[in-house]
Amino acid sequence: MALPDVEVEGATIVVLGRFNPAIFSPAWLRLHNLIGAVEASEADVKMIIPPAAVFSTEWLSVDVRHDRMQLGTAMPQEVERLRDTAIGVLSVLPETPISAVGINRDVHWATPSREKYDWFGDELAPKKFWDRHLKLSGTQDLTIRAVRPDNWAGYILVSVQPSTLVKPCGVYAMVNDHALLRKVPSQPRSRADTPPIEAQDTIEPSRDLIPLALEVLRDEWPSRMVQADRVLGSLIHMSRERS
Amino acid sequence: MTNNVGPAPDEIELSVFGPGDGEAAAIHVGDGSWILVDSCLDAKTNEPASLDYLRSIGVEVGRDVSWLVATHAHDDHVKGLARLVKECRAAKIVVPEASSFEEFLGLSKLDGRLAFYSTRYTVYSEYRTMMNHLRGNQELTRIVRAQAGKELPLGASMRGDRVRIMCLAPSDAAVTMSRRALARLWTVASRSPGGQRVASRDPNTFCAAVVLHIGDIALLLGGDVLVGSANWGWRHIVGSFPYVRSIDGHKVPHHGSDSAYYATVWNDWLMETCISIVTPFRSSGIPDDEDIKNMKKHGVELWQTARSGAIKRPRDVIEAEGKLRSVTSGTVELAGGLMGQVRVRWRNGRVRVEKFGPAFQVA
Amino acid sequence: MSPHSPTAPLGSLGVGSRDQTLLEFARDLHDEAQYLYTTQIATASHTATTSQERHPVAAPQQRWRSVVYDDAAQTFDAISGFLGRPAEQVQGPRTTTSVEVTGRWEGVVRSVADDLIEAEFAPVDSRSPSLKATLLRSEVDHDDLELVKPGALFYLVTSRVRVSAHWWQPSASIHFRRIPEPGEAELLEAQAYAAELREELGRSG
Repeated sequence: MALPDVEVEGATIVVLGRFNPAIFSPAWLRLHNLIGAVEASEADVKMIIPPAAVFSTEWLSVDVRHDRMQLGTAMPQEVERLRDTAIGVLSVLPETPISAVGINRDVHWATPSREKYDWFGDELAPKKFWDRHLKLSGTQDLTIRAVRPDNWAGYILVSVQPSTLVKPCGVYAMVNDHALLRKVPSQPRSRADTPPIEAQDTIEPSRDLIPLALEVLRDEWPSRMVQADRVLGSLIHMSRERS
Repeated sequence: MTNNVGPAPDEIELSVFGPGDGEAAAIHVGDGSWILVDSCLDAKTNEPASLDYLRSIGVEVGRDVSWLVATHAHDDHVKGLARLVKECRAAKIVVPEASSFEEFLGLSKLDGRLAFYSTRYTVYSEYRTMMNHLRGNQELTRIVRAQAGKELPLGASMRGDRVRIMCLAPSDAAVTMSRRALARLWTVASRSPGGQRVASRDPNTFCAAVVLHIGDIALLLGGDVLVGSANWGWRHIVGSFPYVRSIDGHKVPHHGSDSAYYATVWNDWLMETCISIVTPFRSSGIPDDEDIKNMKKHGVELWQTARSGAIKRPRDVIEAEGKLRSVTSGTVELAGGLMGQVRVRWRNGRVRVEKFGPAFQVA
Repeated sequence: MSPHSPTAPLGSLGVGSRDQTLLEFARDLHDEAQYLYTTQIATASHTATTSQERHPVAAPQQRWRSVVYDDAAQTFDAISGFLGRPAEQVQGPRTTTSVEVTGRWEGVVRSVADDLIEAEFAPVDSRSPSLKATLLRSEVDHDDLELVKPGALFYLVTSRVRVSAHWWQPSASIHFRRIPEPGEAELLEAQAYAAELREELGRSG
């Protein structure tokens, strides 16, 4: 995870399933030795109520709802600990029905100038068509979906937007590695074989899928991080160089 | 010098491998039949060193390896063991008695949860993988449990002489002590706060040692057996097996450390012409100068598979040292290194020693 | 609304947009708060239950803040205020300076003596050979000191932190890895496995 000179970068792990947010708290994490004592006592708690648990420590953010658990960090040096924490939480909740795991990397960076910023947006989404119908069109939000390189059901999603943090001329990009906890015999080989974009494949959450989630977090994590870095690195590089 | 010329059918061979953080041995007992003891990985190929070697000299490992002895479960003796078990399909597997106790089996299962965190630093993954493989293939009958006094018949060498493996350790007392220690480890593991491995080390009382008699040649492979006391370790072995003498080839126990050095073995058991081979354990800097002095004073020919001290560091290690300067004291070194091999061959009363890689004769 | 993945981080949909899911959640929350309010009408006082009473798993001795209000409307306002913020693209705490990671290792403690930790480590997710070094206990985070024991797993991370436009400061940290205790089910499973395998080994002689 060595992206060149970015302003902010982070990672998030999202697990879909059926959760009880009320049990999540810094104390609960401490009880299971998932965070330290000082970390737990100094945690910033936004809310812990039946529909939602939202709190953070120095490096870890936790956001749990009925249908998802989200753990994140915006400190790139803590990405491996983030994975450990996700594995740990799933290990202490073996009865939780789950269905999918998302491994996300996101980054904010500055482009060198307004000219390069606009050029970058035009490279990703050409304006020739739009300029015939609209005035001074710009890229507000771009999302690309692709097939997975392994044999898990799901997809890879990359989103690019103007940055809310880095101004002016900052860019935000996110790579979402969405893995449904089900193996497939093969991935689509052509666009014609890929499911329509609006189709969202789902599976019934089950506690029997926890070992698969742990397998994804153990075995897929390294290559997912490498691919995300490659995509994000290429975007950053492109936005700073002009061919 | 290359090492890919196999022994003649009537030649006895003892090869010991050690890169600095692992140990393995391969013994040719005659007629193309092999016995392997312990396992370590060659960092270059990431394969078990003994497997690499046997294949390089044309051995059909699935057919010609008849015994595999796993002396104990420490990291530096088991890396690649599960692979050896899988590839050496015809081999019987000798394991210490205590490794079949429920306490050990339970610990190895519990250790499996750590495999989600670290595939490199789990403790019992090789044993666990080995057992799962054997169980899955209904091959648990390949396992033979080692205990002092147990003899494992190997069949006839080409000269019609009987080839024998005798287990010298663990003793009954060592087995009992192992069991108690494993039970304590289980208690710790089942209540271990975050970050603990199941057990950093199982007890050395666990360890097996064997003596092989192949025709006129006797080989002593001491694993990591320690000096011990009257009822376990070398003290016990020497007292219990008075007829063991005339050792021609000797794999020095526990990397030559003073905790395993028992003078009686060196004085009374080893022949004057015995070739002793020690594998270093670089993480602990053994054998150190004192250890070498202890061994050399017996006048034996001593070989070492690699250096004990710091070795030349590649650039990435020096770079790592630079980056880690603020959190380390001293230097950053390679824990292992290049694979060294000492090969001893006996034939018609003559002995020949060869060294490969960083191996050397201790002056 | 642009298509998005259910496993993308919440709030990642775009600058200034309101996540439909968040609004629905706020409505659920309001219903929840209303329910609590109406069930408490019967009691003489409208005092909010404490977090400990509502969430018994929370350890009473912890001093963290909890957000429970004794008035449904106040609850809704507080939560909505939080949820109604423009969706953030990055969740949770973040450093205010750029940090570039320059090295990551995973390792294990071999021995501990006074202030020194003998350790073995290797680059994360790599087959490179292990390295060994002596780590300084004084560099271990105070919260992690309880974990410093032989066999403990840790991460070593080196990075550089931007101090100014042209100056980066190197940094290194040791973080011990937290692995939860095995649960009762895991222990029972390990014991059952051990008993079964022992019996099979016994039968096979």
